[in-house]
Amino acid sequence: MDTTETGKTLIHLERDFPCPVEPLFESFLSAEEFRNWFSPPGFEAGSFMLDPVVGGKYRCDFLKQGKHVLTIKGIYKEIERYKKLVFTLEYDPDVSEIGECKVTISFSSKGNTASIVLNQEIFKSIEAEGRTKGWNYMFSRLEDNLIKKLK
Amino acid sequence: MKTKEEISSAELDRLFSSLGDSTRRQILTKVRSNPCNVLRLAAEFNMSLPAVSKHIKILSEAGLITKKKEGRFIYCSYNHNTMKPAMDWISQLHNLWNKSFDRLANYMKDKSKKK
Repeated sequence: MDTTETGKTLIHLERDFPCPVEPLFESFLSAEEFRNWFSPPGFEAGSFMLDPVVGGKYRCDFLKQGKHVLTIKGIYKEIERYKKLVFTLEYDPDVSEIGECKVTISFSSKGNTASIVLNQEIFKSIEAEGRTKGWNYMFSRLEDNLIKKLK
Repeated sequence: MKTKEEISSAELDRLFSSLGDSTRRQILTKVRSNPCNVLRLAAEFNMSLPAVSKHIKILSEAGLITKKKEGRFIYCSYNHNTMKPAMDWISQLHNLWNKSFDRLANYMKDKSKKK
């Protein structure tokens, strides 16, 4: 499936950071920096391997009590320095897998503030099996519910 | 983060694909507020009994409704618990980024202090 196809957005986040956009962008593409901040709640960062070129892969291992329990991995699809980062994201091996996601992060800057807009959407496997309609309906509902819940 | 045992991919597939039909969504909306018997649902949606029963079977297999026989009638009610795994899954994805961005903000602060 073409990664430029867009599915229903699962997650939409906007954040401002009091720093220039350049170091913020770089913190996504350096394994050493990325492991300092990227992890699901309750997990410790383990080994991180990043090949930040279009078509390159990344793999982040996470630990619990020193034991490897989770991997998040994907492929870089677009890298536009200081502006846009697009990559796939999937969990491996033993976490719920309802499809590979596509993550698009747009970067912008205003004065000394850098902003990020993140969109995460399903783009593989579910559509391949013709279930888009149901998922999309559900996800739009879930998203609405979540927004209310998380407010 | 939940494991496959706690949040079954097949269950989620069944749940979401059962909701890919507008009639089934309307049936769910109807039974969400009050349990409703199958005959009444057929009349309300202007459908034959076999047709509405087929939709109810799909919703029931997905765990979205529960059927209960009372006298001569079968009543359908909405099962709120079924939505929870799907909500949990979305929450996990949301938390991954939200909490990571909290840490990123602190990381960027520390980084700029060191310079």
